[in-house]
Amino acid sequence: MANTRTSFPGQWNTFHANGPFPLRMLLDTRLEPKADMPSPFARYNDAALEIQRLLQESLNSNERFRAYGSGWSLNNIAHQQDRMHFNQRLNLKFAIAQTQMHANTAHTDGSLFFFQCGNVIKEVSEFARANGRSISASGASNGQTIAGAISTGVHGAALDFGAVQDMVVGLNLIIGPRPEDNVYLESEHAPALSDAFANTINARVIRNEGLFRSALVGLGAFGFVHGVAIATEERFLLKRYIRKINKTDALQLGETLDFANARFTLPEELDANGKGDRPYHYKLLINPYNAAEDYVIELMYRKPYRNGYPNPLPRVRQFLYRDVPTWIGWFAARHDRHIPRLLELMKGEIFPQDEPDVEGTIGELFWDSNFAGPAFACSVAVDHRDMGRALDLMIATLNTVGPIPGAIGVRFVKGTKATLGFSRFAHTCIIEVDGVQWPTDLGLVSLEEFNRQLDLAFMNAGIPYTHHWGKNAAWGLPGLVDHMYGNADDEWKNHRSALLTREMADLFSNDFLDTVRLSDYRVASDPGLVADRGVAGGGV
Amino acid sequence: MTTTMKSTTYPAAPTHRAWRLALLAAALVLLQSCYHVRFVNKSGVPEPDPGNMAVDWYRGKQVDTIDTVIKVGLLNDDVMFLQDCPNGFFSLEYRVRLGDAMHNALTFGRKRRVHVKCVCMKETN
Repeated sequence: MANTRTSFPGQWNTFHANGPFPLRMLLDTRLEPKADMPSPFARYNDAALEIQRLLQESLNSNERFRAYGSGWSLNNIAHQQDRMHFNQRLNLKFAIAQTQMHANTAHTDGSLFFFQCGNVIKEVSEFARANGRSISASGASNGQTIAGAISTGVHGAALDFGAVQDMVVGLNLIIGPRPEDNVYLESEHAPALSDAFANTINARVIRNEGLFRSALVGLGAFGFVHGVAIATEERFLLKRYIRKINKTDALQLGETLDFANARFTLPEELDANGKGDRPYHYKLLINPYNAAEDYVIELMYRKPYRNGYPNPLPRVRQFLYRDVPTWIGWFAARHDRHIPRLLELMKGEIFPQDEPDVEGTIGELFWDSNFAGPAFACSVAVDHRDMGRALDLMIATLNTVGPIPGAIGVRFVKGTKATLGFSRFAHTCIIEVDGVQWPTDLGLVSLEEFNRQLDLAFMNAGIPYTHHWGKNAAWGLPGLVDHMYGNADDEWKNHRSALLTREMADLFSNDFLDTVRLSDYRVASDPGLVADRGVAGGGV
Repeated sequence: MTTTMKSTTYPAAPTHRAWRLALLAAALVLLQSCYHVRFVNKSGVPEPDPGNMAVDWYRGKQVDTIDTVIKVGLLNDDVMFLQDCPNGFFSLEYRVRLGDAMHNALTFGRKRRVHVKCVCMKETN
């Protein structure tokens, strides 16, 4: 039997030290040892029973329950003060056999995998690699659990793919302590796994497009995400380039995403007609406090996989521009995290170094990142055509309301299928300020006030936008989520209320959801919202 | 005369003390100064520890530390520490401080201080 260790730590913190937050009980579940229960499906189902037991205990105690993985979110979205469950040790992995796939699936044999919630992205990526496959998207690093990453909408810069949740084709949710509360959920239009597979994990099947899209970025509120089915693709390599680019050319690329006709081209990446190839990944690093400094551009192009390519990790380890947190962590450490000095230096040139071109798999280029001191991140997503206006507004806010010790990263990602995915524009441009936390006695604006002013600036400018769910924002602004999502948050609440009983909906809520009003429960929701609309599909 | 003596001798005493304090502080700093070498598994994932809130590379990782003095002799130059890492090692860090090197030298190599940090691989399931 899986067993759970209970401790009473008193407080809990995020990986990036954005707390501490009060915590009464920490639950840490370990799988039954392999030697005692050799069947991985038996261990998976055994863990499900343990989770249901814990949910029943929480119900009995009238306490809330929140699962978390790596705690990488930079706000309190992962936190819940009654009971938190540490998921990382639940890391079973399954390669899906053709006989476990839905008869009508469009996925090819060998392309689907099923991961238990606590697998971190690196485990997911390595397991796919070991099976000759590749994941399609990754965040800038690889330490988030798969359940945590999809629940908050972690994204990379996969221009024509999407965010991490867009790899997901099925979800196994535990929505309560009863046997029927074990649910396998997928799209009715794009079925992936067979009913027989769902039976193997003791789950009842719901094929329902709307419900699936709502639960995909579920913010931990749609139940315990126990397992995730993922579609992968043929393994490939990425060729990475770091260059400097002037602002005008960067804006042209960002606002058009037309790499064939842009002024900026890479001589190494032209097609037969001399036009620029379309990259897999496009990212910018920007110094907001020196308008004269060129931007750093990071481009990655897909290449066919080949054996024997040079090991990229010695260089990847040295990358400064892999993401803004890495760069700012390095920059701050060089200057003893002395905030006034950092801000003074940022008035000058801060991106001095080039980096060599390098080639590797997605798992290698988006490799491990490490704790670099207490950090913050404010992330705004807009339609890529609004990039220029939004970037100007962000820089103006940093210079007028700020300064604050951070730099800007800009990434582009295809719009997500998830109802509350924050990368919701057809091609989304994500403008993010990442930086180091600063003490209150420096006379700088507080992070809270900066975020409030940033939201007001975007609202007043009339630029449609959203915020990354796992980052810092003025989440308490009245009507913020309605403003960002229109009717989508209502659709999400309706699906959630139809799926969960009222008491379970409250059990899976937390302060963050209360703050943004997403914990609201809709009584008498339409049961049709959670009806199974799919065709039962046995193995093929 | 008295005034002159005060002006030449009294300031010297604190300066002397300050130098001694500075030397002591420098010695303490130097004795603590160190380097470390860390081996890390490229494709591995560390055993997690949700309670480890260290503000360094080890944050969130389950760390075992070996911090001891070993005695090395002609008949005993092979020291082994048994570590329970059923899935292998994620990282091993060997740390050397100047004070340890001096300790080693002063004992003619017979005593050696060992600082090792070890992180096991997360169980693969």
